[in-house]
This record gives sequence, C-alpha cells and structure tokens, in this order.
Amino acid sequence: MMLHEFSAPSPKQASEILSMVPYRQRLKVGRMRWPSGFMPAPVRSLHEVHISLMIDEKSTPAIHFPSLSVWVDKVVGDSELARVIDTCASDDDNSYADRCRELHEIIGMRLAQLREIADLSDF
Amino acid sequence: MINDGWAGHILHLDLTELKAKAISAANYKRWGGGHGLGTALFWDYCEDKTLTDGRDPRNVCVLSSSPFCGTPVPSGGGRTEVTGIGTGQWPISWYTRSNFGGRFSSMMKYAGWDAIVITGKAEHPVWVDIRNGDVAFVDARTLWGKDTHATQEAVWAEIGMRRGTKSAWKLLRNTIDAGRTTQKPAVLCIGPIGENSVHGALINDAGNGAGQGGFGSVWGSKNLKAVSILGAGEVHVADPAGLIQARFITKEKYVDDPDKPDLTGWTGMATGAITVAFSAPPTHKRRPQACQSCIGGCRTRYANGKHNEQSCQETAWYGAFARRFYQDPVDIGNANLDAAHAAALTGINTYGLNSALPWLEYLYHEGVLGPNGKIKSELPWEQLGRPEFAAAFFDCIAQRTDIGADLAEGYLQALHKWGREEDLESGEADFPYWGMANHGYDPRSELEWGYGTLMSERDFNSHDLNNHLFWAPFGSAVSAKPMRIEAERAVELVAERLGPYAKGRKECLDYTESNMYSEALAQLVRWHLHYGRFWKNSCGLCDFKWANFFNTNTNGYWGATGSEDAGEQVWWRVVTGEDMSFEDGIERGRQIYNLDNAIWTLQGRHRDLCKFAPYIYKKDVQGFNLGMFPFFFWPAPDENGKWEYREIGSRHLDEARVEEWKSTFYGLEGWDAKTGWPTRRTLETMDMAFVADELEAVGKLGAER
Repeated sequence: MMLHEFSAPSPKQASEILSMVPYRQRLKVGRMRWPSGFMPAPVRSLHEVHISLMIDEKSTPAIHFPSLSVWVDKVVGDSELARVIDTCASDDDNSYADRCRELHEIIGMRLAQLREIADLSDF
Repeated sequence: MINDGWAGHILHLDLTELKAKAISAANYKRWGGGHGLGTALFWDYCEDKTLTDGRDPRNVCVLSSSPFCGTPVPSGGGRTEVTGIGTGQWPISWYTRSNFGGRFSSMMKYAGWDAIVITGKAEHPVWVDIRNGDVAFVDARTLWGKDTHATQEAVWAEIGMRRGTKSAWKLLRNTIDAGRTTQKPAVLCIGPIGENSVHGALINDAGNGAGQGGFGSVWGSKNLKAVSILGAGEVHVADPAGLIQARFITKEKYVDDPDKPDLTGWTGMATGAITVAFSAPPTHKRRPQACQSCIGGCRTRYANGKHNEQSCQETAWYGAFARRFYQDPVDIGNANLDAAHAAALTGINTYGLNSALPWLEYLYHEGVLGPNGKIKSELPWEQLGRPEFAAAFFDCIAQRTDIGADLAEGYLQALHKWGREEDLESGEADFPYWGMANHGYDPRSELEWGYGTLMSERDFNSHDLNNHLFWAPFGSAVSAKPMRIEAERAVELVAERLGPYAKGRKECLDYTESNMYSEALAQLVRWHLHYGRFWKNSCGLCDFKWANFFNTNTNGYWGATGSEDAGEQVWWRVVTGEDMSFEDGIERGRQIYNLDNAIWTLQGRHRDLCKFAPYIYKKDVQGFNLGMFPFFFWPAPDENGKWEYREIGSRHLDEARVEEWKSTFYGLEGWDAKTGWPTRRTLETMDMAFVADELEAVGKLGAER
C-alpha cells in the first residue's frame, strides 16, 4: 500500500471535486459477477468511483484505469489524484484485484480529506 | 405398470371448462422430459400455432418435470420446465421456455404427474389445488390482487397447513384413504404484474421464478392465479444401487471437500455451496439453501430472516443505482434487497431491467422522458437507487400507469412507439436480440452466446462454455494467479465432448475475429443448442453445475460431462433403465430443437427476422468490454497454433458475414438456407414426418437442397 500526502484544496475546490458531474459526463464502468456477467454501473462522482472499486466475494470492478485517470483529471477536476491513480494503475507487479484495492484506499483517503475541508458530513 | 423415472401420467387442466383430465405419458417418452415433453405436448394441444402473443387464450402453457425430478440425481432433481408462447419479445413473441428450481417438479412427480398442460381461459380467477390424483379448481377472486408471498400464504392456509415446521400430519383429502403427509404443497403463483398481463411477469414458487418468456402474463391472461401441488407418492428408478453409487462417485471424485471449497471455478461443478446473492448485507450469519437434490446450494438464508428468498438475478440489477445514496455496504445491500423483495412480491422478471433501467435513465437525462419530456413520466427519477423508487416503478408497471402503460407490451414495443429507434443504433438501448436485455455476455465477444440466442428464441443463458472458458481463467487473471489448466489443455478437454459434430476439433473454440463466421463455430453452436435442449432443458440438469467439461479434482482434469462413471448418460441409465449414450442425448436434443423450429416457422419465423440489433453491427459502437476491462479472456491460438487465453473484446459483427454464417448453420442443420425452415428429408430422418406434414399443409416446408 502506497501512502499519499495530498495537498489541501480550498473549501470551494473541495466541494467542486466532490460534486456529481452531469449525466453526459459520466464514466462508463461496471461490475463483473458470476453468473450474470457484466453489469453496467456508470459513475458520476468520486464517491461512486470509490464504491465501484470495492472488491467483494461476489463481484469484481470492471474499470479501465487509464480512462479513470483521464476522467478524474478532466471531468472531476482533481489532477493530483489523477496522477496518483496513474502511478498506482501502472504498477504491473500488482494484480488487477490488488490495484483495485489500493485505488479504493487512495480514493477513500482523498474523499475523507475533501469532505473534511468542504465540511460535508455525508458525501 | 412401473415407469422407471416416469410418473406415467400428464395432467391436462382445461381452464375454459374447468375440467381436469389425465393423459398417458407413454406416447411422449421419446422426448425425454422437460422441454422436449413440453414441446411435444404444445404441438399436440395448441390448436393454432400461428399465435405471436402468449396472452391469447388459445396459447398452451406446459409445466414439465423430467425422469430425474424427485430423485437424487445431482443438481438434476428439482427443476421444472415451463413452455408456451411468451410475451414481450420483438418483433414476435416466440414459442419459448423458462425453468425454475426448488421442489415443484418433485411434488409433481410424487403426486403422480410428469407434466401439467394448461389450456383455455377461465371465466374468473381460479387457482388449482392438486393433491395426488385429486384436482380441484378453486375460485381465486379473493386472491386476485395479492402479491406472490401473500398468495402462497393464503393457499397454504386454505389447505390447512401451518407456518413453519410444526405442521401435524395432514389428510391429503377428506378421507384417510387418500393418505397423509407432513409436507406443505409447492405453490406456483403470479403477482399483480402477471394478473394485469404485463410483459415480463414471472411465475414464482417461494423464491424460485420462471422469468424469461413472461409466463406470468400468460397465466394472468388465462385468469390462473396459482397452482398448488402436494404429492405423497414415489418415483421408481431402474437401478437404485447404481444411482446411489454414481452419486457417491460424484461426491468423491468431482465435488470439493466442503471444508476446502475451491472458489476459483476450475473445478466447474465442484464449487460447493456458494450463495448467489449480490450486494447482500455482509454477514457470516447465513447458510446456503438448495433445490431438490442439488450438490451445491446457491440460495441464501440469513440469520435475521430478512429477504431470504431473494437471490441471483433479483439481487443483481439495482445495486449500481443504490450506491449513489448510501456509503455503507450494509445500507447498499439492504436497499438492494428491498428492491429485490419488491420485485418478487409484484412478480416481475428483473432481467429485462438490466438494460431497460439504464436506457430509461438515459432518456430522462436527455430530457426526452420526464414531467416535461415528450414521454411523460412523473416517477421520481432523481431517486433511482432508493427502494422507494423501485416500489413506485413496479407499481406503475403493474398498474399500467405512467410509462408503465407503454412498457406493458415490451421494452422494444415502447421504444418503437416512442420513436426511439436511434437508441438501437447507438446502443443506448442495449437489447441485442429479440427485444431482450444484454445478459452481460456481449454477443460481439461471447460468440456462442450471441449466435445461440439468434438461432433460438430467447437470451441463451447457458453457461456451459462460459463457466469453463471464460470464468475460470478470468478468476485467475483478476488475482494474477497461474492458470490451473493451460488453454491448450482446456480446449482439448472441451473439444473431446463436442461429438457427434465436432469431437476433437479445437478450432471450434477459437474466439478470435478470424473465426467469427466459420463452419467450426456453427458446429459449436449446434452442439451447444442440442446439448442444452436435451440434457439440460429436458432432463433438468441445472445450468449452474452442468456441463462439467473439466475438473481440477481429477486425473487429467476430465470433468463429469460424458464420463463413464457420472456423466449425463449414466444418470439417464440408472433412472430410466434405457442404455443411451451421451451423444444419443445430443441427437435427441437435435430432434427437440427441430420441433422448436417447426413451431417458430409456423409462427412466422424466417431467416430475415433472425438479426441482432443494429448497434451490434456498427464499428463505432463500443461493446461493454471495450475500454472497461483488461481481460475478457477466451481461448485463441497464436500464429504458431499454440493456444492461449487472450483478450478478445473491442469488436463488432459484420452483418453480411453473419448472414453467411447463418446459411452455413442452416445447411448443417439440414434446413432450407433461404428461409431457415426445416425440410422434409431432415425431419423424416428423425422420425418426424408428422411435423413435415403440418408444415407442408401451410406451405412452410423448407426446400430441399
């Protein structure tokens, strides 16, 4: 698990990063699960990405890391997080599942920081 | 007379006259059971096979057991096949099938019936009370409007059964001579969606649902609310010792030690009890529950008792929306299960929602659907993901209010009514075939699934190759673990079972673009359709466990399928006494498939109708796997002919070449390639001249080559 120190954005920036993006700018991801196969589950916020990256005993995230990085940078507006995602996603020594777990933790940390800055108790 | 594996009689329920009649099963044995039996009965009892909407009173719905039902055949003793003309498909609702697990088929056998044929339409709602040989039609007006669970409770109460396991011995009828039992009847029923003949309604037996085909709507149109069956008899088998021996061999050789379950999928049928409930509350306080005779157990029973009956598809369609509103996995799970519960009570098949809800949400966000859209809807679309939205959505579907009025006839019927054909060009409406939802195995990548669906009548939903050649390597790839069976060996093992058409032909399993339109692929699809038609749909072997092509528990990795000690044909022999080979079963499947195609032909099928949705043929439309997932692995040979598991996503199908492939397929089946209709020569080689005669009488016999 890599540790990351994120710089602190302003409360306004934090709120913007946490906000839900318009439907047309959604990121198309999904989940793979036996026996259903691929289930579409597009995401519109970092919060949804965070939950999408969870691995459980029943299903696996279906997410393309380079697309995620671009989306976080260009649509969500968090270029710092996007760079960390790039670094983590390109770690070929880690399995896909491990990279999902790591990204889940990284984005979770970022979310916690942003929520604290934005003073949002929920999302 | 003892009928090994057979009860010996079929029950005909004439709802128009409210009469029940017993038919001998003797003339139907050649069709096996399940789908073959149901199709033969449909052929004989449906007076107008040109129907294209299952809600016509002349439609015939058959519930069929198989010789395996009520016996300990592993994962083969508890399925009921449902057949008849369905509802809600596009452009025509075909003669189709579904099936469900549990114990209804066993009860049917114990009551003395191999199948139930339902014809006509009752004047008012009825339910049918079957206790062994006694059959009563009961006024169901007091049940009409009740949800599926309340209906079952009401029927049990009517019969005098108490909740739980405290039931005392009960008389099967009013005299002691009829026998006694401590069992509760199996009750198959519909909910409000079925009552209002809305497409996509299922029939439900305590959490077991026959979803595809929309047979709940068929029952509703017939004013049939429920069928309750209680049997206290037995099933004779030809070789009881052989049956038990084969069962022990299965346990010792093919199935895992329950204390050391193999969760990677490489053992195929041996994955033990894995509850198939998605997004459920994470808790260890649960246990598996299984259908009659299953060697697995895929249902979940929670310690808190909440939503126990919800599993599999019902729990798969809403979680992605629910997570928008909740952070805690427990909350997401609860919201998901609440939505699943609402679906079950209403009696809707949620499979169609896999594609329908994302498409409807897209229309909402595009401003096309909503309070101010061209398509008026007052549903709270911003709340999609909360259980309350699911309940409101189901209510509008069931009552045909809001967009439910248009969706009642089918998703593509609504799409065309709304003038949204462009969504089938863009793929926003992800209904690749027959107006049915994408199952999650895109036909552009998973070739046998797509072609198998195109050459039949419903979403294929047969995981035989999918479980072995996709999921097993997928599981290893996700965790970067070694492939426990290399691709070369895997395709060898599968190909060895592809007789009589393609035994040993590994090229049938080449999923690369170069093989997408080949004769070899056509042979694979034929084999798969025929295997499924007999061994699974007619014998009732469960899709979650069969076929078993390879198995890492055994020497050489041979699976149980076709094996000499526990293969499909072994179970047939020990139960029925008939010495039939594995490939004989494939041939029977071919005959049943031909009977299906004859019915489709009479309904109006022509090869020109057998097409994928437009977006499947478009270069610029992304499949689900494009850019989303790094390993949609299937077997493929490299330039030196060495097999590997290779990513094969990101592609489209070429329409002209699919047409060529169809001609190849029809030719291999011995059908007329210009129409796709069966020919007399082919039918007569299968002792099916009676089918040729009926086709010829209406000018729909295929031309001989």
